[in-house]
Amino acid sequence: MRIGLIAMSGVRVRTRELIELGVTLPQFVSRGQVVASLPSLGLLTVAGLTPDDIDVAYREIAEVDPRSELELFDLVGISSFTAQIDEAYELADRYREAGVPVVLGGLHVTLMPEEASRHADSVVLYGAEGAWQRLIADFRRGALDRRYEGLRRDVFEEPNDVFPRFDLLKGRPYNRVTVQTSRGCPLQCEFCAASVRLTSAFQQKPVDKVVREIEAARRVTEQPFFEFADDNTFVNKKWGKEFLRAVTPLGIQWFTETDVSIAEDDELLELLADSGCRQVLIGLESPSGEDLGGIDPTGWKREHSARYLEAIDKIQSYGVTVNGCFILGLDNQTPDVFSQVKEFVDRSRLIEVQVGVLTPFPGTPLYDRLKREGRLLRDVYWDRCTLFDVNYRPKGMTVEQLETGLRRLFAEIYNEREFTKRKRHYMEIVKKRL
Amino acid sequence: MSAADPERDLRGVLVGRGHDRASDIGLDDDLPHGLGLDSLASLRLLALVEKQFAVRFPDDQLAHYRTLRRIMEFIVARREESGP
Repeated sequence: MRIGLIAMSGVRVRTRELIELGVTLPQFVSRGQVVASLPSLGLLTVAGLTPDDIDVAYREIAEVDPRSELELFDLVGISSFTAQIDEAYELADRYREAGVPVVLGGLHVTLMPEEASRHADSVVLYGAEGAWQRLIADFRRGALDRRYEGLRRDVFEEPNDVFPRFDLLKGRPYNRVTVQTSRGCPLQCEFCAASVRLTSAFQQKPVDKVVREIEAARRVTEQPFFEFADDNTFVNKKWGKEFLRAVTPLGIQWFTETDVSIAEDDELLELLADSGCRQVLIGLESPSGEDLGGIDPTGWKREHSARYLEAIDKIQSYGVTVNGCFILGLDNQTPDVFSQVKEFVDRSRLIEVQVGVLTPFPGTPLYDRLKREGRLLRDVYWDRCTLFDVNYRPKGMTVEQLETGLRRLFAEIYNEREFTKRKRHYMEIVKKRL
Repeated sequence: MSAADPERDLRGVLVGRGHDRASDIGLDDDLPHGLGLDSLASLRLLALVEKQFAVRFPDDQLAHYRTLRRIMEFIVARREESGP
């Protein structure tokens, strides 16, 4: 038996003006290209759950020309982000027309199972762990169910844990490889459409398993840069220090996502710098604490926002760059936010900046609230879930003000003069650490 | 950097900081490509050179210094400007 696993996870920018801006915005473009070129850890995990006697082929969207002849399999599994789900459905429909059973899974499918079921013989919700093995057994006896639900907790514990098939990446030109150390995030931000929607509780992988996965990935790719596919790696500082001590001897360079609380722990920062961490991505969301009210249930981000500047300065002083992310269009923001973000970026001297529009991804609490309040601009807009398209009516400004302000901020933040300033700041930090 | 062999000095500094391939990379080869450096790592390399050789690359021309030859020529030129 031969199973095809197809990843459709390119980054999309629909708006022509942004695309044109993007061409001259190296930082924006490079991060987009990085994300688009990462292998699908989800499908490598599915491959790891597949019995050894089944031949698994891993494909990425760039390798699946929608106009070309389909590569046929006995069963096809497709995973995609929301912005590309329509193309995933189109491909799924083509496979089904060709008589190949299709299984759809991933975040969007988990959040919109009824919709996905119209394009699939079966859907897998939540993680593949605990579902894929049953699905394969049922498929073998010709009794595939319409829906399988994977585990929402204890996914990293024996016997549920699985080793992703990094060997499927052999011979491919990846310079970045993903490894997951945790799933979920205790902050539970209203807008978050990441792994927090797949889990019922924050889960952390045992350190020795993370190390084994890094070593396996290194065997198939030459000097990869590691991207930890986490929502918030250093929730548990004790685990974090154990992890960093174990990673340091490996001599890797890596990136991850976390929150500003790491700045409160000098020992962790020292270990972070020594371990080869080159950048942490932090969702700052907005420069003003007032804007952050209500975005997470406990008010954690609002409470910590007063120390943003100090935290960024401290983290970067260890030679670890901060990629600060801002969301525009939050309910408490007014048109003043655009100049506030620019001023904050200048004052904080962030080495990297990411700016996007608040996006109500389907299935999130934000989506449910905006729908309830009658503020969604259209019912279905999945191809516009790009982080750069406005899909709702903001509270503190008009749609046009948000769109115009985003473009202006893009031009102010992403230009050669600003890039040069950030590069020089980074070099001076590095020189102090040498 | 010794006046006698600036190339050896530069290669030595890079190898000493873990860029093992700097020992045999061509003078005109692209360093980020040849040493497997991403954009941040490339800046770290330039920062290392600045610190070790007490020079400062022009901020608006950092992308220009992508080969051993260009870096070496820049260091030698700065040394000559500042005199013996």
